[in-house]
Amino acid sequence: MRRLVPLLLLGLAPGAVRADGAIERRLHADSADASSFLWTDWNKFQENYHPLYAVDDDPATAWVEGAAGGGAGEWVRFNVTRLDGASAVRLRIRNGYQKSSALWKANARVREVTVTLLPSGTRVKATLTDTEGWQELRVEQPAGPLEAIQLTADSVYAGTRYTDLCISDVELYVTSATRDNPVVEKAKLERVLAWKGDRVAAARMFKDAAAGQIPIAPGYTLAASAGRESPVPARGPFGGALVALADLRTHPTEPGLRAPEAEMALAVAGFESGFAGWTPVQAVANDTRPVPAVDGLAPAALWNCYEGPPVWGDATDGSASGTVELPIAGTLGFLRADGVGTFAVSQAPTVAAAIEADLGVCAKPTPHILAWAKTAPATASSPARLEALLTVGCGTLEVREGRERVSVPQLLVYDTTGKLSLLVGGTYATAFGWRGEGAGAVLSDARRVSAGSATIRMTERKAP
Amino acid sequence: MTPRRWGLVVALLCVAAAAPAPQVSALFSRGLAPVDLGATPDADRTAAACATCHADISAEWARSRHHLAWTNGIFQREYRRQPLDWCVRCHAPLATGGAASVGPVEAEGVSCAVCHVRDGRMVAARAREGSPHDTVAVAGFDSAALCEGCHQFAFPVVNEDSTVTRYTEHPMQDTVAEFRAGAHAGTPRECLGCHGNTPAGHRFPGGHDLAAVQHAAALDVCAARPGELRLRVTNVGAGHNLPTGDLHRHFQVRAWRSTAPTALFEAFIGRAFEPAPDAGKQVRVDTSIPPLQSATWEVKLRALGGAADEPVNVELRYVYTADEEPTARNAPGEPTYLVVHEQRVDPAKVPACPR
Repeated sequence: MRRLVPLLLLGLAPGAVRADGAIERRLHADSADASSFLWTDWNKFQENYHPLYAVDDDPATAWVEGAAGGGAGEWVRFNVTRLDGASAVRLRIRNGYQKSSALWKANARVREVTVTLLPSGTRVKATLTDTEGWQELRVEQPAGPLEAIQLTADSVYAGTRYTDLCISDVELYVTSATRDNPVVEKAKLERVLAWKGDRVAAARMFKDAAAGQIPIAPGYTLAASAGRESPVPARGPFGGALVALADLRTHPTEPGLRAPEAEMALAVAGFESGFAGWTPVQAVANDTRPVPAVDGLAPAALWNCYEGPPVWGDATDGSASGTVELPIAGTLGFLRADGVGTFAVSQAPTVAAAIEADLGVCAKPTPHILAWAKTAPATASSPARLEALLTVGCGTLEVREGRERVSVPQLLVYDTTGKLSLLVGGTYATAFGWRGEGAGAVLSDARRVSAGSATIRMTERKAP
Repeated sequence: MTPRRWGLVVALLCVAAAAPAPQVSALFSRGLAPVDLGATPDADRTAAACATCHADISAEWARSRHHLAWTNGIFQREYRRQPLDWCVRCHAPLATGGAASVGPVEAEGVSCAVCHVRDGRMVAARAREGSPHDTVAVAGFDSAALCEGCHQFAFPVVNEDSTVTRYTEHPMQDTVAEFRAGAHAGTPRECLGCHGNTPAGHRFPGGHDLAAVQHAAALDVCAARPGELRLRVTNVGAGHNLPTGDLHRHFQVRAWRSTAPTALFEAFIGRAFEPAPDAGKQVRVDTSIPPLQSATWEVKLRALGGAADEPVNVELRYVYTADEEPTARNAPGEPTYLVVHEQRVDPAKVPACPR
């Protein structure tokens, strides 16, 4: 502990340049961790109390801790652009839930706080006032690296109604000799606001009673683990997909997600035969609502063929480092066999021609979906059942030299109850798990395997 | 003289009488074919072969972007996205079989032999007296006509099989045309007048050289009126437009207060493209600055946020890529930009702009 008393604000004036060339600049965080945050699913994806809401420049939102008790001992940490030669941090804090005076009084506020600068470990204790609006703290350290700033609540001012401890906003100003790069900091705030916007949009969709059941769990997390080298070499036109399937089959068993053996066998047979005997169809989703694209679960996109799926972890809590792709068609209907209508077409292109994107329908920047179906025939006890759908999303993208036609093939395999169980792309395979049955079933679990890349596990987040 | 050096000289002498002097325009195909060195022995295609006698020049070249034409991270990242053999023809010109044929010699990029050897003979601006080489003096060798072999071309028409056999009419890199249309047209030695001077010589300093870019682009700040700054960028030293070359290259002019990065003022200098009706792309907007011309912007201090007395940072940055701040996954492994000018001004002390 370097200092036992708060250092209030008597540093350099904003913008002043110190003798060593260091200047004070504002940093934005697009990654934040916390000891806990309050979980409520009344508004589904929005998760109003995530720690990133303390750095969104909006007093109407807040980080709210979610532990039992009054909040003492809880902490929030903001990961910032690494700076060298950082010698001082000035924090402006909106203490409490400052959406309104009523909410501010109703919830707990931080009383004594320890500010820790990382990685140096420099710590300062201070006492915040029990007032609305901004208040400031200043922490100094010997000039050195700075990567994160942590606030730990040592004691609290109790709320009149709730025990939840809140901080609406924290602004971070760091004095450092490192070159000032506003582009990076501006982009970080924009990412936080985009993250917030996506979640608000998804929450609206889940909240809308008219929308009905959404077949995706309302909250989930993604975690990445080191990938493995391919157990078999890629061969043939679908070599990458077959390698991913082989990798998925040999992946260590994890609780809660079975290996979809029958579906994988069907997929392998389809790839190895070049989908011979599959019926070219027009696939139409009965449920045309868009798939919510939040927190790393999102429809594939044409751009993925160049860039791979987007990385989501940087903009949320850092736990994920990739995306679990859903059907490129982008509508909820494709998540279930009974959500897709298939109509045989007479003059269909070959699968190879579709993958080559060598078709007039592939001229637009939005994907055109071509499909081939494998259907289990009707029996005395059950009607015909869609077992699998090979979809090829093709389109034309603007690239460096002009325009280029591209395609994204995906094989969707449904289990015997009609739920999407396996999705295989050009170089990856994803097994899905569902919670519940029938109309109320929700996609709640996934494991995405891609040879040589990180394995991504999606698990449902449940209220504590 | 080492045996290796003699080997090169003999090889270059043996075919002296056989081939006529090439035209400078024939030295490069503008990307439509690899450079053909003819009967030159493999060992004499390397930069090391030349370095045995021309150590100084070789050392200059070793520090050049020409040397990095194939290996530099910015190119390699773009090439991985669109691996066309067409790209290889200027970035590894000695590779006759596309990327698959790039070995250590071809990976040397635009090496000595790429410009100076054809059909087993030396080619140069002049045959120096006493030189052991059989040198063919090529008219126009030290002019823009040589450089345009790789630095002046239009958008390619990419065939279904990914080959390129012709171009559209829309320039992709327009450097030599910009020079010929600009105020410095006719300068002795043309491109080499700036990019080939001693002591840099065969290092060919250009867009990746801070001193060269600072020499080319000036950034001035003055007070247009109370509460308003005027930023001016002038092409004071380049014979071509600023920026020039690759379509992604652009300048950013920026002004901001350090405590208010999100109120950043930014202006783009460069070309923006859109798909052309036939093939390739065409210019949609061109704000590049021709030689001896300027571009100006006026910035209200109040719009920059921060305290009224807080200094304002002003910066001119040369950006080589479409994504100035790439993600870690897409980073090319080398700087994506160059800070050309930066200053921190006290708004109260900025001189008034001349009327």
